[in-house]
Amino acid sequence: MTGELDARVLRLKTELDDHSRIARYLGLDFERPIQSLNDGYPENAVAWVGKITERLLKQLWRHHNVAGAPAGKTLKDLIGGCRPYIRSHQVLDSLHDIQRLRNRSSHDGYVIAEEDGLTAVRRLLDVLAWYTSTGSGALSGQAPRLAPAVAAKAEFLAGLYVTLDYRPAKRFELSRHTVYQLFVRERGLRSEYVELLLSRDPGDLAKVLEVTGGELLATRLPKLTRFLILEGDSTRDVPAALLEDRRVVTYDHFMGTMVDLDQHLADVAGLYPRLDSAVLPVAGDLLTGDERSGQMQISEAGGAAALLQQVAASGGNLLIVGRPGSGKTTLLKQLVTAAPAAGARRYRFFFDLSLKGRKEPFADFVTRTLAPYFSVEAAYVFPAFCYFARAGSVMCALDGFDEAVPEITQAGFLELFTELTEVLSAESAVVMTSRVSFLEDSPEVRRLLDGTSLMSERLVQELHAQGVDPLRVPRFSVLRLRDEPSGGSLLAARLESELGGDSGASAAAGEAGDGGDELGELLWRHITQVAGPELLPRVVEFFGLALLRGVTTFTLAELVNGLGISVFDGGRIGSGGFRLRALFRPAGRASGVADAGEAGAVVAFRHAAYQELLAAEFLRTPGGRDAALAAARPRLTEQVRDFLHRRSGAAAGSSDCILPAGVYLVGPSHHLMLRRVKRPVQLDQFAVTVGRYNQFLAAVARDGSARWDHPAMPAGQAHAPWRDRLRIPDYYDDPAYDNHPAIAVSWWSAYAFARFDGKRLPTSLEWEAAARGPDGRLFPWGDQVDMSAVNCADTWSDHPLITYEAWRAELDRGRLKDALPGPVDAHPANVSPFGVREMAGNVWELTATVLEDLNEAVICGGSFDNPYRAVQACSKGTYRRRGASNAVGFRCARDLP
Amino acid sequence: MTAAAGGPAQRAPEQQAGGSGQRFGRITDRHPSGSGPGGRLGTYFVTDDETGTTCSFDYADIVTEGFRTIRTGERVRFLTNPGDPGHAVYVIRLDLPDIEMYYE
Repeated sequence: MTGELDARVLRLKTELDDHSRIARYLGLDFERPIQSLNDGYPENAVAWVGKITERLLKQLWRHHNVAGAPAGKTLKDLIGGCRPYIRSHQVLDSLHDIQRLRNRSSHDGYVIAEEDGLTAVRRLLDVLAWYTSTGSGALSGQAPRLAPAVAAKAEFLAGLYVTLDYRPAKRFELSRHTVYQLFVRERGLRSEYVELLLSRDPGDLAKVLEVTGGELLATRLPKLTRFLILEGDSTRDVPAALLEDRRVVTYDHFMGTMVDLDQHLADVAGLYPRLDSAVLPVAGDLLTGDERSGQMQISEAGGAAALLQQVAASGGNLLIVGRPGSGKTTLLKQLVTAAPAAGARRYRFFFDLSLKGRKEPFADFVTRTLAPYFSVEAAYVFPAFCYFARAGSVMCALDGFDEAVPEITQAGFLELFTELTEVLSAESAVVMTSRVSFLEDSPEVRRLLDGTSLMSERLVQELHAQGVDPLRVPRFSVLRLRDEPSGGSLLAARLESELGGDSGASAAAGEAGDGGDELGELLWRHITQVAGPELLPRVVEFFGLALLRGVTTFTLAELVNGLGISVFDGGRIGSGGFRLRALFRPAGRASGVADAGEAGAVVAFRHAAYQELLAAEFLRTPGGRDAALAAARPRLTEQVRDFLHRRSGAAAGSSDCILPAGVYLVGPSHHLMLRRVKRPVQLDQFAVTVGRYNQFLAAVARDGSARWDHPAMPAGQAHAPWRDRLRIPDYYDDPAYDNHPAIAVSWWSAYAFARFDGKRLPTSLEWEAAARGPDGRLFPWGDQVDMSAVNCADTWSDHPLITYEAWRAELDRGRLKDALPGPVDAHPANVSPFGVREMAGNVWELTATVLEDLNEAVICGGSFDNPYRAVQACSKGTYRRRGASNAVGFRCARDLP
Repeated sequence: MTAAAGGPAQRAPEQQAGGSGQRFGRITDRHPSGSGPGGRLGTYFVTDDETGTTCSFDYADIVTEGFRTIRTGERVRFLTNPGDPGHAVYVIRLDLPDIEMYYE
């Protein structure tokens, strides 16, 4: 045996001695493994460690009344049974290591090295340290037993110091209400000690001191930090000797020794938007998920601030959604900075997620944001923060979730959500904000946020794939902020008062009757006022394109490079002389030596909507859309689309149904995309009618259809409509229906008809682009919901059918039995910017786009039996090519030279 | 500091997957009629992955705001009512194509 090994064994022995009380109580012999190591039989040491571990776990098993008797159980089964009571992953890992080593030593042919024996004892020490720190007298036989409340607190404190890489060195339960703990960690050659004396009863301390003659607590340890942790503020009965060199804190404020919360909250309050204490006059709906359909339903309505307080007080997680400028940030900041109600979470942290770098790990972002307020080393900021969060003592406010997603898709959301799960554990209270459209539009995201509703299997698989246990994902309620009755928004009101004077914009918006116009107008006025006509084009291009590339923070140096030195007064770089500063807020400093000084200061727009407006302005020109398409995955928010549509105004449309080549904005609001239409194409003004289709059938009856048929059309596929599917049996015979859409025909027949007509089916991209125009509108006629413009399920009911439940109830009541396709020209207002009619609603339309793997064709536009929100220009479905439905028709298109 | 306040929005593990009765399965058959007004629409059959039992459902049981169809072989999540265990309700399709495929 080498001298070095000798020294290591000796150290382990010393550490084991610290746990002699447990050994005595449970009748364990810690000498045996040490002796085996000294004798050169590491396999025996491993076997002894295994036995001791089994004994510890059996005690734990009985203590927690785990079902079944522990006697005769294997180590593996014992670990499994006790698992729910062991909160520390580190301890579980240690137990598994011991089990693994023991298994190995009991197999012939495996050699157990000295190192293995040492490892086993080291792991046993980890388990013992935890065992001791759980502080239950029943487990370790320590007397007097701690009161459960005190034991829980002691365990919490011990866990915190273990998180900071300390290990428990000593622990004495001095009375039922008083416990002494000593922790140590090695820093290079130095050992750092922290001593915690926790007591619920100061009078108790005097007694303890008396009994021990002060000896127990005297210490000569170097580098020692000493805390006296009390229940209340009063130190009246505490012996003076204990106050001498100790920091006295109450348990509830212990976290305050590590973090300067007041400063953090003061800084939060000081950032734009400035806070006042007035209650926001914003109304909201509290939504919870319906367990069966996974859809969100309103459970309560009222003042948003009051609803928010209510959820916050109950400790639940909440997602606040609302339109840009609706007051989400202000509400969240008010909640965080207000004095916490009694019993509420005391420690509140605010994170502006718009400042998180897209590739920046969440842990780094938290560290960067909170390091100035934490007294622990940077490396421990995130672990300490997570420890507090998981212990349920923290409320974590995440502002602008949608602004931090790596890309604006469901996958992007999931990626960020997964990253946050370290904080979003079941014990956390998280309040986060997001734009309404982004999170509400994706059914998968809606389901994910509500843990009790049904998560789809794919989502579960993706979470598992990313290392997240879906059962650990917390459940969120949703607070949806309502638009103000006037249609205006909080941001608009603030801007209005700032810009003052001429209220022309709001008057103009008043005419349009929609507050969204007002916000865009006000923001634009502010931007033009600040930038001036000369700088404006560069501002649009630089910041607009930057947003589409996902860049929302800028160093002053980058601003000089992008906009020229003239954006700084006198050509001197500095925040004070930045000519656009009225639109911006400070956003920290760039890391890295090269950006030192003023040039390294970082700014971001005061509100994301400013930059979104500039992006929309940039996208208004075909050249802008071309440039944006070149960005790998342009970051297109629903607000950008909304502004693009609004700013395009009543741009002159056409009536010739010609879709020009170019780049178009397509996709649902949670997955907006730019796509290029390569060649101009002319669409049929109307869906193919029964009358036109009957002409085709007559031609087929005369000459056969071979010359028009798709080469891959299955044999035996006929072109006659599937009459069993028709609700009106003589739909194709009665001339009254000649002007109705041709339905109940297959994709193969639609294909053949188009060729018969000298045309083809449009692709689904062409179809959508023709419906939305260059400004990406939601419906062919614009963004407004216009009941009189469309044939959809709501048309046949007397109330809007927002949810599946509402639609289903209406169907079951037989109210939708009369719903049918109508004439293809029934709604003159249902017209696209290119003059194409009736694309939304009435019938789904088959397209040339086929998903070959599924052998299904993409259908567009929604039909008479779908609710309003499914008859948008971007609505899509797929249908098997040989299917024939009474809700599916088609129209044709013609290539132009 | 350790006491985690339980609130209405707090996660309740027993209500998670399984506890609320959700089942997973595959569409194993489709009949061209038997549902919808006048029985003109299709009836579908789903076989539970775990139990192997088969339930029927009609087009209106598919939870979507869009087009209601489903193909044989698709994976779905569904519920059943104790009063009518042979009938699947709240059928959610799990194999929907990626949105970008619609634009290729």
